[in-house]
Amino acid sequence: MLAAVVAFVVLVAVTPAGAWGSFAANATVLLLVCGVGRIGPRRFLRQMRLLAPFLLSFVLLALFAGGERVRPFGDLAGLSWVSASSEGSLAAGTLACRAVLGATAGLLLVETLGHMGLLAALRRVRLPGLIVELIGFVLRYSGLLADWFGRRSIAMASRGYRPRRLTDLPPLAASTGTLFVRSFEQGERIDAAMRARGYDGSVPAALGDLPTQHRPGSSAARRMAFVLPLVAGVGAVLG
Amino acid sequence: MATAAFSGAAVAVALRSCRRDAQPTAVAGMAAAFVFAAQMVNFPIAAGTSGHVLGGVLAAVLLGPSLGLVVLTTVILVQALVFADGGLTALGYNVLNMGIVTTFGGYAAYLGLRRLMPASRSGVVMAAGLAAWLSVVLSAAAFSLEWLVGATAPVPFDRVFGSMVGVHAFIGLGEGAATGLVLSAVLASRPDLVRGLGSALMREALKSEDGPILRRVEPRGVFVGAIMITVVVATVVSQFASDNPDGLERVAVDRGLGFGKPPYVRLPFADYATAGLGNESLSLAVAGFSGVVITALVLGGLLAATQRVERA
Repeated sequence: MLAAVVAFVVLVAVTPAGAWGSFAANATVLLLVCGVGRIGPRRFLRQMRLLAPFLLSFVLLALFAGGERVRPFGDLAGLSWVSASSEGSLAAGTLACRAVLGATAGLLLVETLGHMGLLAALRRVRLPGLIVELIGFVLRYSGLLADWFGRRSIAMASRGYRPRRLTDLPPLAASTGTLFVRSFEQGERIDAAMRARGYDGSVPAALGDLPTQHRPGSSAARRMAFVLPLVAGVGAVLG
Repeated sequence: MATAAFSGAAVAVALRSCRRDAQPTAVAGMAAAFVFAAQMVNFPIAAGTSGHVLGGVLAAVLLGPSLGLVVLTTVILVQALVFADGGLTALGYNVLNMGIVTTFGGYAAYLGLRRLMPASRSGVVMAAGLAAWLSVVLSAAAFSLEWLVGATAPVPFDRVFGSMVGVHAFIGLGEGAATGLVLSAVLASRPDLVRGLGSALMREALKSEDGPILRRVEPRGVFVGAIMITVVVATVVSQFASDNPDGLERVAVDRGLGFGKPPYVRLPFADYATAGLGNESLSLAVAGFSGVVITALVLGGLLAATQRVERA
């Protein structure tokens, strides 16, 4: 499934600019598969929130790029001054489509496979072992670290200190340094614990055999995923 | 695609020179989690705005450039895959700009600056801070250069370059300050954790009892001189270069070998002129200077990464 989604994203990226029909077809199929995988609109909207600054920059691109100007509102009352760059709009629209499709595909991938499933898939495509292990650690411990940073802010606030200006950087940085040292030492303790439980430096092969159903609808979505690159491929060629 | 191939190769090189026994995997994992979490923290700048740090130079100085690159690559991968934050096709591109240019290029800058600074903790901190600022600026410059070669959108190069580099020169100040300060905090408590210290400082950090520290003849003068000469040649002397075609071009023109066709891709530094900069000599100077800086730093970083660190 990893391969299918990655192929889909790549094909969307090479779909020629302005191929609105292809983008629409891709979106439809993607939404279908998401529906099968029971990915709700709330998750989708959260993903779009991450994309929001990029979408904004696309709008700016449409408005301010060079090239000939076009008036989308024609002579409508009071709006005839609104003009956009025609090349810019084309580019902005294409980029927006690609961004949304790519982000949603990523969302589908993560929600369907689950974190462990994703790691297993990365192992299967022979991503270097060290990187897969590091990804695993990031997924497992970034929550802990984020919590430490949160506690740092609370500790500062409870002592009456709220950093507001750039000149307030030193205490933030000093505490960040301490947190780095602490995370380093935590890493050493984790390594000792792992070795005490028999870790010898290799990623367990059992990582490859994991239950396929991460959530209701996952295995169905997995089976359907091959459709995505097919549709995208046709769309890219027909443009 | 090209950036993906280049990034993949560079990361492979880094992986190979990353010795697993140097740091246990769990430690590297925690470092990666730390960088990931730290990138999410926003620090205040002024009047309600806040910024984030990339941490490339910090990772390179703390963990060594190869492990630093691997850690940054991991973080970028996680953001792209799990949070769909970066776009999968832009991975090669992102790893190149945010990973390779900041860690390798920034580390090379750090090494160079460290030789210019006094060999003390504050010297190291200053070098790291400046290198971090430079890494952000270079990252923006690299992005702008790639933009012109591969971009979908018709924005003139000088506008992209100017605005990107200009804005990031400002943003980089935050990164530089944060990097320097965090490094000084780590140096204050556990200097032995910092892999990027020079051998003299490392010995001091590990408190060896081997008697007076023999100071190597630092080729500082040679290094600085070489850089200055290269920059002067690239920016000033090149102005006087002859416009006549060199031997190869002359032969090609004589034999009518299609020099008249317009190039398929208008590269930003084609013919040693920066596209979009009207003033010819300035355009030439910027092109030459950028080329020297980026090449020197990335290759220097690659060299530094593949050398083994000698410990006392």
